[in-house]
Amino acid sequence: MMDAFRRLGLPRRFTIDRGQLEKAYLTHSRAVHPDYHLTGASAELHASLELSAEINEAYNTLRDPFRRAEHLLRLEGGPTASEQKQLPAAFLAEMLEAREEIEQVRGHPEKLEGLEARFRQRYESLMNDIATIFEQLENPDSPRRANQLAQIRSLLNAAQYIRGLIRDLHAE
Amino acid sequence: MNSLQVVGIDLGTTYSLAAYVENGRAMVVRDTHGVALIPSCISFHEDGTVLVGSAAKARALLDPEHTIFSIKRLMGRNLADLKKELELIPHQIVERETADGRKVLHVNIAGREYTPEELSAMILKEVRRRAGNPSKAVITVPAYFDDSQRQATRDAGRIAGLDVLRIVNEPTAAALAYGLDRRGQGIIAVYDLGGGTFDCSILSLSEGVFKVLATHGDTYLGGDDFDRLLMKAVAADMGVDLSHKDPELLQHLRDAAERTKIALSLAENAELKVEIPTRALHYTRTFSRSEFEQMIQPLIERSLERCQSALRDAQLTPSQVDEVVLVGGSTRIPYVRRRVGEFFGKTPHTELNPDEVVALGAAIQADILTSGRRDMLLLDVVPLSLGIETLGGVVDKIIHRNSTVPARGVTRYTTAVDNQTAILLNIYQGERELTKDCRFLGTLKLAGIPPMPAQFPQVDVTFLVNHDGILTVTAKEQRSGAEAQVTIQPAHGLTREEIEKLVEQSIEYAQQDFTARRLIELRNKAEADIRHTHKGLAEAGDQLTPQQRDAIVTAEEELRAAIRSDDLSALQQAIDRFAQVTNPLATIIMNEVIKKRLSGIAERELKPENI
Repeated sequence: MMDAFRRLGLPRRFTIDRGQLEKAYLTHSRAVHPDYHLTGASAELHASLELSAEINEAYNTLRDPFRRAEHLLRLEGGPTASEQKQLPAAFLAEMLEAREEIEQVRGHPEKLEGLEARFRQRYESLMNDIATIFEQLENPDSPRRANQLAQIRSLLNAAQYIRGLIRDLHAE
Repeated sequence: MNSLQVVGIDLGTTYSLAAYVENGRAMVVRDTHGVALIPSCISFHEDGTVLVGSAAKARALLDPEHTIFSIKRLMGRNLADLKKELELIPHQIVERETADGRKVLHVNIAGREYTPEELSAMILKEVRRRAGNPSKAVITVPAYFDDSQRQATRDAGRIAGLDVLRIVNEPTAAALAYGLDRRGQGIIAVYDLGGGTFDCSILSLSEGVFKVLATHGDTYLGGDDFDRLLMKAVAADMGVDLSHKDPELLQHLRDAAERTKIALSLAENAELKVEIPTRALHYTRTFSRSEFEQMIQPLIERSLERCQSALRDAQLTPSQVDEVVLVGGSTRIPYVRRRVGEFFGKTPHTELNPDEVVALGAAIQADILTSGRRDMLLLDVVPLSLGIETLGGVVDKIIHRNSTVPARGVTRYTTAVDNQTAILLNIYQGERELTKDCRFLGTLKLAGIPPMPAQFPQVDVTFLVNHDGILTVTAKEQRSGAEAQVTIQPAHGLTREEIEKLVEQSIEYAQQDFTARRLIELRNKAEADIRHTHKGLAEAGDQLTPQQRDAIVTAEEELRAAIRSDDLSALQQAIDRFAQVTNPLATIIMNEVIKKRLSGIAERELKPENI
């Protein structure tokens, strides 16, 4: 499996600087983009296509916090949140409440914006919690580590659920 | 200008033109009268002569049955796609199914059938001739063109005797043309309303890199549609039914409608006049600008909805757009300018001629590809998702729309029965869930899977969309490591052999002896590949495994033998094979390039000139 962090020459950690990511992406793209290798050997063009595709893939993975977290979990040896779909215990009540709120704004487009903003805020706060746990992640031999990873997975699933709600708001 | 090697070509629905870069400046190719636009129009004459451009357009009224235009609308299409178009096309369009199941469109004109690729090639040849017969070109397409439409355009270039370096999206080219004197950064929206197609692209510009964030469009929306609205209004007024093919009347109506439309961009009122003396037909009606604006309003709304979708995909709002660029002749319409300005909340750029800006951008891209300059880079996207049909007619998306190209996607397949050695998969392009709502591109056959029990093989199918937005597919069986043979049976278009044949048939090349020329080209390429590889081996050969080195030695011997022979296809195969075995070496070297470029510049600013 490709290590997206290594592909773009960035340190392997969840919290990344967006500006640094953009710069790394553009620098790598400039080095390998097929437009600059059209006049070279066939193998060179081919390699530049493959590497550019990898760089694009790495960039897309790291740009999105959810995919970045999943990628880190995979690099840790898994499982990922998509592979183990448990949710935080308290989240069930929140889900029901959110569904109710969506029902209430149905037919009231003026209230939609406010609800969406709240969902986005919630998503951000879940991502912040995830970032904190990633920062505090213990060494691989620590007994607490498995628990921390499980926590990250359940928070990620909650965030993914919220993201689904935001999408549903627009689908109406 | 007499020794142009490479040009940028805007192959438009109504007009085509070429541009080139000289001393760092992009210039449009003009004739002795200063005219740059070549009407994308062809006329066929009884004595066998074929005229292209304004001479052909002049014939349209006199001899509509033997004059053809708007060929771009037919490119990469089949009959089913064109249902709503057909009524207004005065020619007979037929679909022929080939022995291998491809559906190929033909236009019946002057007693002969032509594919849209051949007709577009005639236009490209004329554009090429006026530019002094350059051998290489960058050709633009609407951003929203799908894989078959891009392929068809590439093939047309090939038939016209051009080495098509790159297919570039029109709005991206336009941004490139405008970006020349702007070194800043920001978000650019390109609103491109041409004769037949509409595109809206959102780009970010930063340190010379143009990155397309999202693109949306409609391949059936353009100035032609405005003409049609006028034509329909007039036809209703005259009490005639347009679906009865009447080429003479259609052509006169079209001509009058176009004139009226153009006049209404300058005046508040314009007269629409149809005169056919032989039929004693004299018709006049005055249209006001506001009347015309009311007619086109729904179409403009539709275009702005696409802009909204593009912005949503880019996760931006209209106010976050810094610059708005207008492209295409239809953006001369005051109503269009006003509505676009209102939508984005800023005055659009109109400094460059909207008819020429795409060709200028294409010329700049051609210059980047051939001159070694690295001050600018285009990062474009796939306009429509690509996927494979799964159970129940659902499309499993492998590469999502708006992914930056080159883009890659991998999916795994297995076999259904014991010892199955081949798998057939249908490829689709589009956003909808079901295959019936997406465009069928072709059938993918994976063969050479080692015999194993059912469900045991793991065939990884890799989709790669290259820098032209064109799909290639490779596959590997993971348990055995065997490369599966991949053949794509396209649903439309021409095969490589058919294209080569058309190139050979073209008179110009028969004289030059096409095969000999191709042999020379390929031999040069093969020798360059060997040279590059030797250089690479000296640099990084020690990083290869002994097997990899042996494979290169063997392939090189085969390639050298093929260079000595006169067998074109054997030489092509040997080049492909050599490229395949030298790929690991090229990858290692490319990675070294990245390392070198990155080391030492970390502490300095990452400026384009340092990279």
